[in-house]
Amino acid sequence: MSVKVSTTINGDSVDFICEPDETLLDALRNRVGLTGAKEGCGTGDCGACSITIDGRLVCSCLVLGAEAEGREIETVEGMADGDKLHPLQRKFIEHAALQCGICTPGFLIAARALLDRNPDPDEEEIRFGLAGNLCRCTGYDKIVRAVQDAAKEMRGA
Amino acid sequence: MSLDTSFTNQKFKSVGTRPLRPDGIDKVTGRAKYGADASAPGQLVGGGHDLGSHLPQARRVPAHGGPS
Repeated sequence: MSVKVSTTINGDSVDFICEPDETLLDALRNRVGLTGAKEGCGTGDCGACSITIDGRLVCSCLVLGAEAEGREIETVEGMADGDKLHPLQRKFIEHAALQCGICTPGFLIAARALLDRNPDPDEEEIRFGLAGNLCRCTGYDKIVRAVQDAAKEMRGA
Repeated sequence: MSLDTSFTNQKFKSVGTRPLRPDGIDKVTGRAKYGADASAPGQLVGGGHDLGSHLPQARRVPAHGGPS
C-alpha cells in the first residue's frame, strides 16, 4: 500500500507517492529527485541528510516520507536564490570548507538553522550547533570559520 | 595557532594559496552528482545478494567462454 503525500518543498507544492515505511530521505532522493541530501549513515549520526521541516532541523533519514504531509520542507537545493548563492554557500567555497562535499549540504542546512536561531554565535555555539554533522575530510576549523564569516556578513546586510 | 596559518614569511606562487574549487558551486548547491545520486531506467538496485566465491582460498583456472 502506498501513501500519497502533499507537501511543500523549497517553496513549491509537491505531491509524491511513497511506501509507508520509506524514509523522507529516500522519498526526496528517489521519488522527488532531490539528491542534494545525502545518505551517510542512515541512523542519524552523520547529519549528511539534514533538512528542515517547518524550520526545524532534522535528519531526513529518521523521518518517514508520510510525515511530510502538510509540512514545509527546505533542502540545500532551495538555499541559493537563483544564481545568487546564500552567504553560507559562498563562504564555504571561499574558506575551502569542503573537499569531497558529501557532508556539505547537511552542514549548510544545519548552519542556516543555527544562524536563524542565533545570528551572532560564538565559536563554541557554532561547534555545538554543528555537532550533529560529521566531516571526514576537511576538518571543522574551516567550516567554523566559514560560518563565522557568513554570520558576520549576514548581520551586516 | 590553528594549523592552516602560515609558518613562514616566504611567499609562494601556489603553495599555501587557497584557490576556489572549480566544483565548489555544484557541491554547495547540491547539484553535484555522486555515484549514489545517479539512476538509470530499469536500474538494478542490489542489496544482500552479493555474488561471491564460496571458496575462502582458491586458484582461479581459466574460465570457459562457451554458452553456459
